[in-house]
Amino acid sequence: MTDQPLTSSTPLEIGRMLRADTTRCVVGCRAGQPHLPPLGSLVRLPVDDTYQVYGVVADIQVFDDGLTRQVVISPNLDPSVILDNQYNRNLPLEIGVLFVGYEHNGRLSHLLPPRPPLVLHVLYTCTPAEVRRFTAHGRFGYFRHLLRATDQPLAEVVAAHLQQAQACHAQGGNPHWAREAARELITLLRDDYATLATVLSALADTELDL
Amino acid sequence: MTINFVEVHRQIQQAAGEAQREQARLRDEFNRAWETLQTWADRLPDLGRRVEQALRYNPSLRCARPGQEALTTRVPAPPAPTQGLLLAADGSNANPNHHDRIPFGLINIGLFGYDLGHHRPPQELIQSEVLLNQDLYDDLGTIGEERIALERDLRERRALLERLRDETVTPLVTLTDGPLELYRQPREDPEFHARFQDYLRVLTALAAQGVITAGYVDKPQADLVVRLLELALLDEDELAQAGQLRPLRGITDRALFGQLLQPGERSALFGLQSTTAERFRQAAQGQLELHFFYLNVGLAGQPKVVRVEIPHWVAVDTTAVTILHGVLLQQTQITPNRRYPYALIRAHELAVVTYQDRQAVAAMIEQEWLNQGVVVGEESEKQRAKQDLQSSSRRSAR
Repeated sequence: MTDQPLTSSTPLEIGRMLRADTTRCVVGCRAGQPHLPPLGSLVRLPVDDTYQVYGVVADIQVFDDGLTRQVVISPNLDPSVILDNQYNRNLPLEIGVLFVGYEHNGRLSHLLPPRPPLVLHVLYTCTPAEVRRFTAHGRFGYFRHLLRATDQPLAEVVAAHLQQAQACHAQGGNPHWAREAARELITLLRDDYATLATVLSALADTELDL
Repeated sequence: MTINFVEVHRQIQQAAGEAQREQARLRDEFNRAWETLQTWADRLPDLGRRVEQALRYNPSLRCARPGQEALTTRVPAPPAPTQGLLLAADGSNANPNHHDRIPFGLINIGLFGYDLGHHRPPQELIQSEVLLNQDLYDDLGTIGEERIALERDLRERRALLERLRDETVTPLVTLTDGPLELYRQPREDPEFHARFQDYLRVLTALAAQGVITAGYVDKPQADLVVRLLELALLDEDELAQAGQLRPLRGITDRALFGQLLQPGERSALFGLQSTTAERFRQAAQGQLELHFFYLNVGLAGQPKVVRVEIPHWVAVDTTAVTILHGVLLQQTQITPNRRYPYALIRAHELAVVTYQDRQAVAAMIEQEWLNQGVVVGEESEKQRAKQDLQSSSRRSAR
């Protein structure tokens, strides 16, 4: 597990968008770079000066190729070969991002973005202040986008997101954000007991005071 | 599908029968070569004299020259070096095509630095050069594939030299894919001569820096040692026809040393006798004279023999040869199923110019030509017709 802080105080450029649809996108970046956003973290993709899209990291895929498959069976791997394959080689790492809202002319919305970013738009991490601003906006409307993503480890993504967002809120003097968020999740999932049970189980594994 | 498979199948059947007969003949010839190797293993002065005699009749004779070690020498694997820097270079190129809208050439050199002591992560460097306008012509007209390949080889070596100029670690080992001898060199036109002289200057500078320089030849097809053994088989009066009389034709050095060398072992050091090698010998007080050895990088029961070409200043330095031997074994063991130096794999990966790369550069050139109001030519109708065929093949493949 990384020793990096979950959110950096300055926005960091992570990678560029490869493909998208209305609800999600995939961003390509170099493997091995520091400050990769962890699962569940809030990220943003500025499209122009007035419009940017917010998302939550829901999937991270690391790819191999023919050479890594050859190297991996070597009985005594040199440290140089490991570093080379982790940091130098052009093996992409793909980050799957679920869109959870957008900002237009300074106004936040938890609706899906009206149009996705375009290919090669840059993905940035969000600062704690940006996380606080987005997650405190409205009444957790963006949760429905997370809960719709049944092809992802939904409960884990939600739990990781709450843990990271709560850290930002605690830093801003609000120790209760996660508790309110958990209540909202229970309300949203009241008719889907199976998912609710999984989400609560995942939340129980966090260190959140709910 | 436009191949007449009925016709092709008939030809393959016929060729397979011939191959069977040829293999039987080669088995007999191999036994003869093997016996000759054993018989003449220590008769190095005699063999040397025969080479000199044969050269008097055939100055363009191509064969191995015996060195100080017996022909059947087997040097076991040394330990892998634990310090120093290995630098591998590989080049790739796109040749100009007069069917394009704007003909251009591209030379791409990939350098990969591998710290043998693992004190720093491997380093990558890519040098790209696009050839446009007058770059595409020499005194004889439009430059061709051979000339670009020569330029590429030269740039590989220059890139190695430039990268190593300020390097303070020792030992420094450089590796390129293929022989040190340039097969494209023997042409006599002044441009080729100038490039060859450049190449010799680069090698001389590497020699001055004491760099352990090597060319790595995978799956060598050469029969240099076999040709030397043929000189041993000829009668004295037949030496006048050395190079034309070939009693062991078809046997490769690889087959011979695949039987001799155990995994990790290297062969004796040999000198390289050829017209081109002679030009290396004459430069830099003999420091660039070419030598080689064979190395079994395979496993028990699965020999994989490669040829390693080294210049004189490396060949006479026993420590340098041992370091190189160790480095090559260490490198080929990184990918156990490929047995090819990892650093060369990576240098190739950095250098390779794909069709897509070429198309991207072509588009960049065309865009800039248009931006600056330069007239862009037309593709040939032949090229367009080929593209039409390719696009229809792609559609039918779906």
